[in-house]
Amino acid sequence: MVIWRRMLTRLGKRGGAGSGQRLMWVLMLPIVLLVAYSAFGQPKGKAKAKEDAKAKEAKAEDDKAAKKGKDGKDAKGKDAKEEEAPPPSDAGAPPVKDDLDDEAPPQPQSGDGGKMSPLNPEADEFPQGSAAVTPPNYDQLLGDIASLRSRVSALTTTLYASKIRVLVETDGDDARIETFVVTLDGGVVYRAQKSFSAEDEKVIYEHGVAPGHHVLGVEIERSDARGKAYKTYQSSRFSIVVPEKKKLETHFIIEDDSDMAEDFPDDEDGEYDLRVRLRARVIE
Amino acid sequence: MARRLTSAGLLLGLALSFASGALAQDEDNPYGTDSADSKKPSKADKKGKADKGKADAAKPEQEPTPPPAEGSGVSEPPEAASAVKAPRAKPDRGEGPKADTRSAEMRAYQAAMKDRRLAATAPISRQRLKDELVGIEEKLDAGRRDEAIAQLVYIVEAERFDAFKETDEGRACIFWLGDSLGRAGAHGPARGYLERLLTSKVDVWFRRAIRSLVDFGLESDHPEVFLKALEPVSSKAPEEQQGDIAYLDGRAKERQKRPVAALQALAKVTPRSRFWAQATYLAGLIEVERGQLKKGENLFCKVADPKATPKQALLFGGSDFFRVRDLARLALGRVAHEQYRFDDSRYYYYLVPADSDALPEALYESATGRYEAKDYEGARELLDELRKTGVDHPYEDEAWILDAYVDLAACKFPQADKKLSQFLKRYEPVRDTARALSKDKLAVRKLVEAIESGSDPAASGVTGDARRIRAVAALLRLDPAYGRSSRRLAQLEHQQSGLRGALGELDDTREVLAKPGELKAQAAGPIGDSPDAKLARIDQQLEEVRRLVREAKETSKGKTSTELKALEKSLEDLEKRAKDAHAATQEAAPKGEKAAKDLPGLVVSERERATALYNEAQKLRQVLLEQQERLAQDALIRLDKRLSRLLRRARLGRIETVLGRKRALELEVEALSQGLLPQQALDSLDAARFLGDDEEYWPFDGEDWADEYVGGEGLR
Repeated sequence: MVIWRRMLTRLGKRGGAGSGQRLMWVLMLPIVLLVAYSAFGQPKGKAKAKEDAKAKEAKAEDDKAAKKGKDGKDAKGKDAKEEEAPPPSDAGAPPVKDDLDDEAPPQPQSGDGGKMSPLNPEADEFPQGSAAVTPPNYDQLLGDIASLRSRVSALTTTLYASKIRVLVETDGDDARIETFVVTLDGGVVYRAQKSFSAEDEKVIYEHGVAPGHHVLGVEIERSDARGKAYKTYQSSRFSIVVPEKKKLETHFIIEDDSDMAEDFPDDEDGEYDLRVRLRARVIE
Repeated sequence: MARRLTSAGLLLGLALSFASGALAQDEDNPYGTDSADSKKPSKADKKGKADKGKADAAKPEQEPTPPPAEGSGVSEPPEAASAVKAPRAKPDRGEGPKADTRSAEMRAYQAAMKDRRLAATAPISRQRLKDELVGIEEKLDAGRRDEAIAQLVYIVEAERFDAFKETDEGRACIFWLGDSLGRAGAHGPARGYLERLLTSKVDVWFRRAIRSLVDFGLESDHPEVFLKALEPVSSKAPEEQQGDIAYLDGRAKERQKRPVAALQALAKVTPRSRFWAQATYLAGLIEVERGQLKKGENLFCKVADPKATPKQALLFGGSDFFRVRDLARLALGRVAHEQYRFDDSRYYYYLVPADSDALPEALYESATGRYEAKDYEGARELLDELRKTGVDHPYEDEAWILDAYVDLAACKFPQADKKLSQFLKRYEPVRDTARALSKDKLAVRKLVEAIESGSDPAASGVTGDARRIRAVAALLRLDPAYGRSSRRLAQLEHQQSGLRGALGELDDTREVLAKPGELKAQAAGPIGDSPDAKLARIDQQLEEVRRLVREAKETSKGKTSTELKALEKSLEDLEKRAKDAHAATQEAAPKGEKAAKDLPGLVVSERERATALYNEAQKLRQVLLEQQERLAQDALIRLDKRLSRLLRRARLGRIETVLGRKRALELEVEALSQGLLPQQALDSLDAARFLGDDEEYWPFDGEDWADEYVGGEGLR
């Protein structure tokens, strides 16, 4: 096609002597080719008769099948019907038509069978997709623990008049809290969800406790928004006293003024500046 | 052909397993999802739910007409105090969680407290329940789920609550308790409470209970037990929830390897169901697995083509719909590729949007299709596009090799050779690192934990070259089962850490009941020296020794010395001692006290049970950790296999580049012998040489008027 266009362009632009003759040849060539092609494409007499007979047979079979379909009788047995899956539909969506029955895949588009990718993976490189991995007593155990915890918690709510309230406030523009856990006497009472932030103070725990000495703990893992590789982890524990029949408010202030992520990559000199402050006061 | 079918089948299998894991994810599940964090719902979605809950709870109430107190179907009456001592049902052996709310134990406590005149006497009213609900919903919004559960148990398990359990507020309390327990992983008690809401009127709590049960069923390994509870009420549920139940049914059947039954169930999911896209996509995958590619394609089209998608499906499907649509487009591309319809497959891959997580996958597979169709220019464009995305993806290594092979196919031998050499230089050490890591279980777990949490793998505590570790992490393809295992482990650890607190509370309560009025004493030892902290320190030290031994082995380059053997022996001894230390620090129940039926007796027996549960949880945690390590190790072994194959392929490719160059030289010599000069020998100043086939060279033959522009004077 490109050649054809180019030839015409040349003829049109350059013109000159003998151009009419050339044009005539160019126009004649396709006509000659067309005539030759149609002559070769004519089937021979015998072959044509055979093809007609085959077509007639196929038509008769089709008619027979259509008649069967009309009568509602199917060649398939009951079992075969059960195996046939119904077409998944979406409340009014057209059902899958019979003509969707699968046929052999077409041959590759490229003439010589296609070039296989050199990267076809081996079967054992794929995950096996194991189905159930839960240990058999997992559900039972989790249910038992959750029930016991809720019972104990409900019991202590009734039993103790002394209470503790834990508030938290975070400060630091570039600090991102990855993990934040608060413990009371070694047991976790609060675990923050991802991307926890408490720019304004937030109540995270409030419950009845036995009056006397307790240990309040906090574990924080932080990363810097300016460089995620710069991380810190802190674990602090504080001994507190909850007076009898009083409510103790404990207020954590978690600050981060680190400049490690900003300064160290530039001049190889940075500083972590982390603080956990706890204020405790009786409020009721 | 068979090879193609295997590979494509495996790809689809992978997609199916991914879908099974990913699509089952509950929208509100804080323990997240498989792989990828992208599976989490938008905050707006969550907020919407919470708002809906609030709106439902704040509905104008009817006149209080408390029905007569009735024992619920599940809870035992208060007289069943002795049930506390009754042995617990044996752990299920794969039958799924039992719908047991364990109410008898709480009722026993209340009876004992009543005897001691410690029980709460304040009356319950609908207004009080309403006020309590406001606080509970605030706690749930703030992530204080454990506190909310405790508060709800306190309310719901009180005898006085029985009169209100059929009121709107009472049903709200039961719903929130069941829902919160289920989200915390306690599916048994959750079922116990939520099923109570299915037995009476059809209201908002009935519908929300169905929704939560479907969510838990999809998350559970035993969806059939949830189905059993839902099937009797399915006819009463609105259309969208009937679809949800049908989807759960389909998933259950698919797990049981009953594809025909699964297809029948999935066919019942209507566009009003929030799972319509998932159901249609899953049906398509099942059809493809059965070899019915055309039917599968038709189903994928319903999700992938905006014109074929029912409008309601978009409204009800939420943000998950578009993720499923991307997957459907990918699946369509794969089916077309499988059938050698390379142009179709390119079109389908092209439909995957630029902001999709599946984009690298689509670009890489599309490039492979173009290569197979011998359209090397097309493959080159797609690979360039993949490079431009600048995203780390698990196909980096394969895309690199394909890139070199595209050059090879286009007879660009020097470029291909350069790329293959670089590949060998870069990925051989990465393969060696993956191989070495796969032998160290602890390092494997740390690495995979870092990948799961999205943090820097090089900073995860795994020793070795940071760049190589990052490369290993980027290439690792985890089994979806790993995500499920992580979620279970996180749930168990959360409950176990809470149980540690409950043990302390029970000890305090025992002390207070034994010596009323006495303050809790300060701990005798240092506050930072708990047995757990000591064990953690032992583990850290041991890890350091492991690292040193590993480095010593790497330095010795396979030569074993007596010193190294002695070191390895010492390490084995230390590991054994550490294991013994872990076993010896099991939680021990206080001795010498006889459990009675009064309050102190109940507390003692509860402490014993808590101890047993803690120790059992410890064992189960170990099982889950081992399972996780096995899955992570499996992923590394598979990576080793993949990289080894690619490295072999790269070496073969280099041989082909040499052969190709040789052949090119032969052709050149042949041409020279026929009097044809090679292209390089032609005059490079001939401008016409650089023109395309459809271009022409027209030399400038006009006149140059130099004095018409400034600076042109006197140039000639």
